[in-house]
Amino acid sequence: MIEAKDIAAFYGKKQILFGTSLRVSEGERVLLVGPNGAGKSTFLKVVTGLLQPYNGQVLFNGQNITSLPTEKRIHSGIGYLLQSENIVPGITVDENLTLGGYPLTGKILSERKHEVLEIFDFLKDKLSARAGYLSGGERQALAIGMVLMKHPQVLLLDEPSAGLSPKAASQILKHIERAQELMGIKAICMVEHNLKFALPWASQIIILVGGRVVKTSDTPNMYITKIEELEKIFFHGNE
Amino acid sequence: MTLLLQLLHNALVNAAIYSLLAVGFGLVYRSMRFFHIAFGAVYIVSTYMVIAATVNFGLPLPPSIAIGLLIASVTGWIMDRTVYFPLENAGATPGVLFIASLGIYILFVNLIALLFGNEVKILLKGIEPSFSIGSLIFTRMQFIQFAVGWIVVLFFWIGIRKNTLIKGIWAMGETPVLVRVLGLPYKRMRTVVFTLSSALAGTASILTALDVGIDPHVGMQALLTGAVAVIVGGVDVFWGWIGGALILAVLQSIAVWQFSARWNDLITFGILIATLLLRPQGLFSPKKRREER
Repeated sequence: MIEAKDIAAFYGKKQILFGTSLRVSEGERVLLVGPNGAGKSTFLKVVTGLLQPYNGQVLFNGQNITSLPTEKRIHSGIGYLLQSENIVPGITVDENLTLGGYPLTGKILSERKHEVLEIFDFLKDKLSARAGYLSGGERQALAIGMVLMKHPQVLLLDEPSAGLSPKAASQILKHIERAQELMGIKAICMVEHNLKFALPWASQIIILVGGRVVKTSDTPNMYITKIEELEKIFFHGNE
Repeated sequence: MTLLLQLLHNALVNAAIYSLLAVGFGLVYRSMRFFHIAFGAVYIVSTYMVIAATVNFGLPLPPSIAIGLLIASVTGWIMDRTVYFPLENAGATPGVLFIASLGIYILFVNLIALLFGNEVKILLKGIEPSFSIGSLIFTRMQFIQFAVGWIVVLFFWIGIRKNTLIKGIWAMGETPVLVRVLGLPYKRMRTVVFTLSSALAGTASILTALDVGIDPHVGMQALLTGAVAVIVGGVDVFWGWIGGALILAVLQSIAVWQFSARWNDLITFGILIATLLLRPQGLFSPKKRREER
């Protein structure tokens, strides 16, 4: 589905990704983890075209999309949840969903909204509320709902549990699983710091450190017993 | 009482023009978050193109107005594509865009002064016919300004409510990255912002010039009127911009009545400073959660 080959990327003069290669295949739930500054979010930005790589290629369904603008990548089937500023606070919940569905109109737009609200049914009563007034969990649900409006084939999630209580975070994960079932999302790649929350969900774990992939495993469950060890490395370095 | 009603009527006519300026300026300021000073340049370009079409090419006024508006819109779009957009892509801050915009403004004012001269140009010669309703007197041009101004504002408001692309433009100022990752056509939205903003500046300029004429230096006054209305009303509320324009027009009318038109600038900037000190988010902005600030 999505394959990144030898990606080198910079912010200004600072290199973040050093020849990073990874693949998200159909049917996979990939968990991308690593310490702060490892390049996880940068990697997602390169895949979605928000950041142009200095070197390397991004392939989606076998096609080279490296030079495509973000807008075209999104319309080709990539859904991307930003870590922050992922809803428009100044407009209503309903208007946010309409924006997520762009360029859908009329009956199709209404049907998509209906589908999304089936997953996040607690938003049904808040359609005319200003999105900025929603609680943290509701905001994150709306943000995911906006991404789902286009029925993406692949979902890239940048810390969906950020700022949420453990209960709200686990609910969000359940909603994501339900969306995958109902909407036929073929693969998900999630960047997440909260390993306790995300490891049981994943089918593959990729560990990124210093802009390089240091470990890829198809048995993420074996890391459940090593969460504290991993978190120590992520938050305090490999001392 | 009659005098007060007449002043209120004049204020509503002025508010129609101020609203056009506020919507034109606010559109760029809200969606791009930088101070588009060259808005004042587009303002004068439109009317001077009407003058060129009527005087130099002998065209009748209606097609000349259409030409003036078209050239103003294209000018705004070219400013974005040749200056703002490349600068933004290179990582320019709003401060850099502000300076660039000031440069464009000065360039255009000097070019217009060089080509057309510094003196006031009149578009319509002769005395305007006037009408009266009861004790209220209004001129034909005031009626046109009132009708055109408020109809355009109403259409724009409907556009914000109904058109997804305009909703996207509204969202662009709050969450510029989100707009891209939702697959909204960022470049096309910029085109709409700059052409529409310039068309609104052009409409206000031509409507004003048909009444009192124009000189190359009035663009700055128009820009500041639009900017003050937007900031006083609240950058994030469309009706706030219109409210700001109305407050400005009414207070200026009262100042004219009580003192003299010479004090209009004092009123304009007095309201601006008072708002910034006492309610910096604007008079009509809703309360925001802390996370939104």
